[in-house]
Amino acid sequence: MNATLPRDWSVLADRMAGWLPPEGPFAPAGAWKLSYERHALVPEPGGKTAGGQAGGLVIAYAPDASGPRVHVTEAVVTGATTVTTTAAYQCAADQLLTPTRWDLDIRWESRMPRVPVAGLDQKRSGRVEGGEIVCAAAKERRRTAPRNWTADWLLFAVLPRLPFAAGATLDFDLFEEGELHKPDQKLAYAGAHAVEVGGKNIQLHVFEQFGRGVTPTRWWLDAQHRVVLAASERRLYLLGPRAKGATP
Amino acid sequence: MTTLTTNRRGFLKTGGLGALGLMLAERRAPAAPEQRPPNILFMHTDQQHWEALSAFGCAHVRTPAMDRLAAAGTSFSLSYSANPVCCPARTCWYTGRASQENGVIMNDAWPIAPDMPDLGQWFGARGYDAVYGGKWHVTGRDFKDSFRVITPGTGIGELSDAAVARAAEGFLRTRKSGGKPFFLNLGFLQPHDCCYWVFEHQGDAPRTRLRPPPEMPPLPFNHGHAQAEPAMVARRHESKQWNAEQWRWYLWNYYRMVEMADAAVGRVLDALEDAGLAQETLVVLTADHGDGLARHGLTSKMFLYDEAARVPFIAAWPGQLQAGRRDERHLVSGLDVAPTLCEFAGFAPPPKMRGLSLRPLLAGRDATPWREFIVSDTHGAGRMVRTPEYKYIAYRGDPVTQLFDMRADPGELQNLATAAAQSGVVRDLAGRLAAWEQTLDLLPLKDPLPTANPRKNKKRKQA
Repeated sequence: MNATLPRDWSVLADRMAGWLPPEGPFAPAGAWKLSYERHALVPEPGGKTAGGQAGGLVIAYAPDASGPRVHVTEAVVTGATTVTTTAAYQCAADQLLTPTRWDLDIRWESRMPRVPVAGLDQKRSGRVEGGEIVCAAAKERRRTAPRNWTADWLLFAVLPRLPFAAGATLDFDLFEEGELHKPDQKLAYAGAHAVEVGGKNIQLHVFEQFGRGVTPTRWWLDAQHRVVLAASERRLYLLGPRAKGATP
Repeated sequence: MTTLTTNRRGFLKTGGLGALGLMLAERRAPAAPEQRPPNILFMHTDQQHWEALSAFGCAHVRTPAMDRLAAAGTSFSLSYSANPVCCPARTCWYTGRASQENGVIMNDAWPIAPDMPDLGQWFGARGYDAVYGGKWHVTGRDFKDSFRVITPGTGIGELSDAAVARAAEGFLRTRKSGGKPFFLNLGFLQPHDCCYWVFEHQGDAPRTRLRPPPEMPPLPFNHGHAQAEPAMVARRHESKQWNAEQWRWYLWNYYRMVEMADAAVGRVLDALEDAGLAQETLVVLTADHGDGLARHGLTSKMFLYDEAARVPFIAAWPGQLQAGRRDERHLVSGLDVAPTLCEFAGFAPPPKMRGLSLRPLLAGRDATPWREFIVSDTHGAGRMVRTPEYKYIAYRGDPVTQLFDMRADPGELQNLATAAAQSGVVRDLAGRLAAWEQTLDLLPLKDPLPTANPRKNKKRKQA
């Protein structure tokens, strides 16, 4: 077990000082809703990294007789504008929660004053039909569905279903928001780490993700298999109450 | 894909400015009033080296969207940044004037000449809806004064590029075919996030915190070198103490960032097609500068080796321009963006353009008389003269000059500047550089803009 404070937990030192690990049970296959702060990681010459909250993410998972449903709201702050995407996925009851249907609603707002930005909002949808992924906006685009695939946000619900087992890997293709193809993804279990945060020593389990079109990402799960932190090169999601205020 | 190869004979013995007169004769008359000018979609990535596309043979990256654009249009292999660092390169695009004229000779220091028009103002005043999303970074000018800004983005590609592409998607899907022409500019940040990667890993081996994947790219053949370099380049090596695995890990990450930029480009191209606008839109994709990519043991930019100075340049307009063509003969500069876009739009560019319109080349008129050399500069001191055969690099006040035979030594490993047999070439290229600089309207530099970083301010004053 590694007791040093890993980069993902040290980069936001100020924020982490007040962070409390979640308590209570968590059932990955039951109904649940988790909120994450979305942070920008901004390194500076000399190795110091600054961070700032740049939005939030809410993932809600619900089992359903017709297949699990995952509802997503993500707010992304890009300078003077915020784009909020609401997504609803109907999934297959498999390990990757392979999407079968989805809808995206994308809305733009200026930040000060907080008013809609005209002409940028979109509604999009997608489905799997006859072995093809069909994305529909102004017109339909079709592509052959890979054997194993999922959408990026769904990883927050896929990870909790994976065993903490050395050597366990998962190979798949990723479709960002169900649309942009990022092939050759690999998730691998990378062991347990003890992390001291907010004066508490907690044991977490790490998965590493490599693949085309994404920067390497580490997923940190608590003993109940709840994703508590996910960090790539420049983006970090942290489970926490502050996230609620970050999403409209 | 059709490929044009270099043939020195037939080139004019003129530089960019000398050839301009000839190009003016070649330039087509402005579009007839009843003829609607094309929409223009100008996309740029940040820090993307010319070779960092799978279409150009790079096996370490997957860029289906940029490949698609290359297959639909013409790509120039000898395409160079006018000044391989962010602010100067961008200011050269948007003004068509050399850095020493537009004032932006380095990042975030001296501002753009206040009265010098930029393409946003120029197109907006001539009937175009001039729109901007993403990174701008032209020192001293707020892009809201030149464009309608749909989203400014942030300084981090991983956080920003997808949103910028989404904004562009929304914009394009609401445009009507045949409506008011738009000039949509999209500044994607990736793969510039590699700079942050460098900051985070500087001289600190244990920070390589993941087990790197097995398929990391090999080190480039010109990673190591023993040549003397101008001092401003030599000191860029000081902070790099990586072992081979760390260098390869850097490269692996860099290519993932290029793939992120490609995803953003793909979103926009899809939206353009879905909106039925592709046939009436000229698309241009380039990058402000490249990246060291471990060549010569360097990362980043602000030097004049090909890895930093050479950038992709692709232009496509379905049904109007040749498709699937790679031009390996003609030298192209970031200074060519402004005259090219203006000619396609059907109006004259701002005065004193230092570049040339690429329209004749894009139309397949390969016999068009063309320039014999281009000049790029960096950091107010370094200058490069590139001909089809040679590259000559000279820094003001630095005794080390460099001359490379770019055909025999594309990795720029053998400095021929002091070889007796090459003294005539050095003299010739130095003469061309001096002649080029005499044509410029140099802007007297006043004090640089202050920054919050006192160390930076001091450095700038010294520069």
